Amino acid sequence: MKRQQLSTNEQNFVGSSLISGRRIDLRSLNEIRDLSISFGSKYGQVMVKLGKTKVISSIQATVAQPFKDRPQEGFCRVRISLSNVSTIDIESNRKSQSDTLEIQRMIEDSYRESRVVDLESLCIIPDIWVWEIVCNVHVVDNDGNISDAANIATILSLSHFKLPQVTIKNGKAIIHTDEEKELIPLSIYHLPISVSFGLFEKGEIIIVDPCLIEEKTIEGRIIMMVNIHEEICSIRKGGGTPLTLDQILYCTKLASEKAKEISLIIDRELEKDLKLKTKQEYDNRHLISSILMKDEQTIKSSLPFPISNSLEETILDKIRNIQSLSWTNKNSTIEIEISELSKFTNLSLNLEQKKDTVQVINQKNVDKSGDEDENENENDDDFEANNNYSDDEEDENLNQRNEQFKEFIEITNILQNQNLSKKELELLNQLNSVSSSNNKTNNEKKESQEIILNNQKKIQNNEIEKINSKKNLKKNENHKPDEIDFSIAINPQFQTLKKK
Amino acid sequence: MTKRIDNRNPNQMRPLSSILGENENSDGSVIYSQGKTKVLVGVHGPKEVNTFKEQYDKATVSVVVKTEQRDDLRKEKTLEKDLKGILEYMIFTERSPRSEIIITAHILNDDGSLFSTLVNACVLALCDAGIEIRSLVYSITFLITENKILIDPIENEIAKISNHSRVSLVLSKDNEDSIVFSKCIGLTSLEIYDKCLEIGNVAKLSIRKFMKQSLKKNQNK
Repeated sequence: MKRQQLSTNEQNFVGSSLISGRRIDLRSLNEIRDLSISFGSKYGQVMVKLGKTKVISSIQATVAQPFKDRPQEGFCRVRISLSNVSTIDIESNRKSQSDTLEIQRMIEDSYRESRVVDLESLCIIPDIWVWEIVCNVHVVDNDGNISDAANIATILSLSHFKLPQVTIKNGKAIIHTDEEKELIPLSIYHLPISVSFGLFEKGEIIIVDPCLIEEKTIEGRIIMMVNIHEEICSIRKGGGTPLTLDQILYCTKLASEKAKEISLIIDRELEKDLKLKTKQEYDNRHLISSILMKDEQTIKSSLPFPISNSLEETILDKIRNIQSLSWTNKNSTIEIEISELSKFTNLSLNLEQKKDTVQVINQKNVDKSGDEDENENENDDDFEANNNYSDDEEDENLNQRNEQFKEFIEITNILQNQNLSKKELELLNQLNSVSSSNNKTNNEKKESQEIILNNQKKIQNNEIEKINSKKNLKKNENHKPDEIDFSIAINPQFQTLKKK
Repeated sequence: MTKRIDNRNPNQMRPLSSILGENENSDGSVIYSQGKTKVLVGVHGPKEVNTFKEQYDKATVSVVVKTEQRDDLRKEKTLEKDLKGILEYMIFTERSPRSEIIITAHILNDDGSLFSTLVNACVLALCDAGIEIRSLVYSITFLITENKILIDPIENEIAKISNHSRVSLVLSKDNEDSIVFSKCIGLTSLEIYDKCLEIGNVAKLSIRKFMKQSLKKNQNK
């Protein structure tokens, strides 16, 4: 099934609907598709989704000789390639890359001329050794507007990447591994963001972020790279219908607005990912997912990995219980951390008042109280809900909320501990009494939180001991495979708790 | 039992995860990961083929593997050849003569046991595309050091343990103990190979469970 050209019916439909001010996917003329970003396990690995176009990028740093006329400058290169998977009509021996050469040159030249990366900081020994940084971008699914997605991917991977440290002794350069010395991020001055426009009706209709079907019907394209400080890094218009000055100025204004939107999202995602200090969290990042509170179908489909039916049901039950609490907005997110895949599921609430149109694989937020314990449990997030409430709210609502908060704590605790012993019941009662007191000061709040944390640690310890005792019975000395669990190894956080 | 670098038992595999069917432009696709090694596989086919590749009685299977950096072309070619042998057995190529089935694999991250992740991912992608296959096939790699057998090694283990050898097996459940593909790198004795087979025959059941779960879950979408 080859689909190189659109039928005339489709072209006419797109054209006539644009004239009446509508687009095929019900966006407005100036609207960008949903952006979602996820990072890989090594620094510099990024996957970007702009609507349905998907782009992967990764960075490689090698040592090379500099040019003779620029002995102190390193190299920063970008390579973009369309993969076989991205198009419907493919050939297995595909070697032509003329589609992406244009975009590759535009990005690489504009980064070099507008000095995105400080090339002199990439120097190891002048005139002899210099870092060469190559960013490889693969387009994995093409639904239009490859240039924007590739640009976002390169920026993200450049700002996420970290170089190893180098020390110079006696004229020799020693590159340290990341276990000896910490890695250093690249020095980046600004982030140019590309916005591409589609022109129609001799320049009278201008669309932002065209999708694939629109790309095949528009009469011309113009791509602009702008950064937050409203500086133009490059403008590229490769043929097509001619534009007047007014139209170009209108495009620049639109581009700067969109650049601000996109750079906000980029900064937020980078911050979230680089805040992960502990290595365990970084390793287990792929297990944590956040889900917007929507219908059950979206919840089911947004879990990134398959789960047994019983686990799904327990998760959905918990979510329904939380949804019934009245102080939760529709736009708040739930974070689920699934440890040991079938044994623990901890839920936590993060009330974010802004709308999240982005569905992203996140990690937990850092404690807002500023205390960073060594054993940052998942349970810290249960009490962020308490922190989010300012002191300005009235006392009438506090009672209602505290009651609901009690229910919330009960639910989470019951789900963690199915068989409560007497000690645990006492602890639960302590929790309930702690949460019901009004008019707390900050110190009292912190103390109560510490009590609650310690209690929950004790509960977890009891459970861990039960599980380990069961496992000890099954161990054999020989390598007789009785059960192979593809579950995760026990989180080492629990092991350190056990030692205490 | 002594624990490994990442606190696993010697018998324990890394957690598996997969996302099926996200690619719009391919007939079947999967993003599959065993722990941190992550792989994206897309399948197109059966479709038209050039005349010099055409076979009158079968479909031709062509495999393309791409690493992140495109450094090591020799590595890509050996992986392509190995995969092609396995997949030609697996797919019912007689059902669609004079056509081509193209399988492309992007390696998103390599953290040990890359070959078995590729094989498992290809199986899932073919199921997602709806291409007929003879049986599901499961692949496991082992790391052998000083008469200890470790399942599913990590790159740290491979780099830090000296005097090791590796065995990678591809097993199916048609007949008991049937091997589709096996590759040994380094010296291994027959006894150790037998033990690897034993362990593999038990481990394939858990991989099978995972594959069926993920395919069922995708059905409801």
